[in-house]
Amino acid sequence: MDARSEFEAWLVAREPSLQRLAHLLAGDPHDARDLVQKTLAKLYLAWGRLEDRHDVDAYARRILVNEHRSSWRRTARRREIVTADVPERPVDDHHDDGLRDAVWSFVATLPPRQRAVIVLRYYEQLTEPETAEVLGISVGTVKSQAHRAIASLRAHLPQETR
Amino acid sequence: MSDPEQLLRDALQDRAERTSYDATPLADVESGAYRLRRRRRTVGAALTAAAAVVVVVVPLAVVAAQDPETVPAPAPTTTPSVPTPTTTPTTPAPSGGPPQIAYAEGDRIHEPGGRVFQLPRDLGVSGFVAYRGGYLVADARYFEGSVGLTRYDAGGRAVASWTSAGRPVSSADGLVTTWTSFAPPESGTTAPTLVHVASSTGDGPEVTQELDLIQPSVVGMVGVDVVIEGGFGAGGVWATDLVSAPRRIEVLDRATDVSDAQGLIAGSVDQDAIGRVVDAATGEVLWERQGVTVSAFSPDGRYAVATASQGGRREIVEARTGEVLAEVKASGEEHFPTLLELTWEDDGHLLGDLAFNCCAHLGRVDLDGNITPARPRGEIGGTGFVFAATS
Repeated sequence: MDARSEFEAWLVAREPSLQRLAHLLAGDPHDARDLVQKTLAKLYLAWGRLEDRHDVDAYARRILVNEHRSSWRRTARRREIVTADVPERPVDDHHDDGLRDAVWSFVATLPPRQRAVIVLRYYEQLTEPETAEVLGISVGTVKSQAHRAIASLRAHLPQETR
Repeated sequence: MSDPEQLLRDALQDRAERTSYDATPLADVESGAYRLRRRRRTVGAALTAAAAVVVVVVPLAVVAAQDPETVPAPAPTTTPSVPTPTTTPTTPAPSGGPPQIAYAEGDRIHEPGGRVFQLPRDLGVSGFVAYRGGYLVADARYFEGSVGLTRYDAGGRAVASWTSAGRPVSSADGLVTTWTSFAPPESGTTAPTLVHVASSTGDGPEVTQELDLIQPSVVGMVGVDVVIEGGFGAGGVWATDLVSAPRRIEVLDRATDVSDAQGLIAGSVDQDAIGRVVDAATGEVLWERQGVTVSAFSPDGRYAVATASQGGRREIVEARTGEVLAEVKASGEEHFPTLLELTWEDDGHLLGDLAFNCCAHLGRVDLDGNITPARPRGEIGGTGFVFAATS
């Protein structure tokens, strides 16, 4: 199989997971789509020098997170509004009485780096050192960011769920 | 009581599964990759096209103006006094032959093929690249981190100058040149601090971006990004595509070289105590080593040079892993020479500026670390050699 065919096979199999991660990091489907497209383009250009195809998923994740870090820095001044207030609790749906949506809405209000820590730790199931490495921050920062997010979430959960 | 961590896991999983996505066609990925490449190469491509028009159309126009039956075939076209590109050649350097890349010695730039470009003033050379038919030369007038940067035209005349830091660098293909400029603090004048990217022949547009850094210097070009060292103040290593705001490469405090071919950045942290090689796309630290400075990637990016902080021992290492392949040594000599500068001539040889027995020597180093002369020995007290900088 030539390199192009290998890339295409990887794309078909793995793009959905990349899309999901991008959506959770960006919080917006359009931004997520941009992130994925940039990531795939960079991965495509780097494909020929990736000797170990088993590492491609991790490599792609790193590019995605790196792109996301760049994008939040570019847009931080004009778009990010950090607030301590959790948005209105969404309407209940058939999944879980709205609790998961409330938690997701909370996650969406987190500052970008804190959100990235949460997504990598609790969705990608990375360890603290792995999360620190991917984000280029210290393990201590990962711990403190996660701790703050959890504490904030706990404080904003409906009373009966605490 | 709910476990907040489990709630987060469930909520994120739920959100991920409930969102639908359109698959990206391979053609779209390839188109995006093409655009990425094109953003950087636009300037160079325009130049190449313009040069091709000059080389092809002008002789054809001359032929067309005459009777085709009486006109002999046009003589081969030669390019008038344009310096040889300073990018590394693809053909292996002959052992013991003259250098296959340009190098500066004093106020002269020696080009492959023997031509010598004479600089009008002997201000020293700390770096240079072929630019707009002449050269862009960083001189040796160091003052608190800054140097003078002068553009010389094909005739050797100084036609523009800036205050800069570090040295100008060309892209790996030689088509694009980048450098920084700023107003020196002691001048009392104000001017923006800029990173410049321009066609190496000057026929395309010059693009600049203002930097919020003090006396930054260019390290090289990786993909669409220019990698910059921050200088005083914030310092650090930054990457910019000149469109978005520069982003900091947080795993490096300083940078020494880049490999466009492999997408790598070499640098250091902890006040140069630890040398690192970093993947430019992801920021991942591929390897690090205490007590060495990593620099000088080979043109194909497979190799780099590691220099010990203590003693200055040089090693050729595998760029992506740090595996030591050879120690640079002086074959047949009693003592090791001091290597002042080392750069790659091609994928299998380095050129070294050697200080040995009080003389400046130009040596060629093979992948086994053996040094052979690349030029007759220089004079005692010579100024040494400086090589063109490419990414």
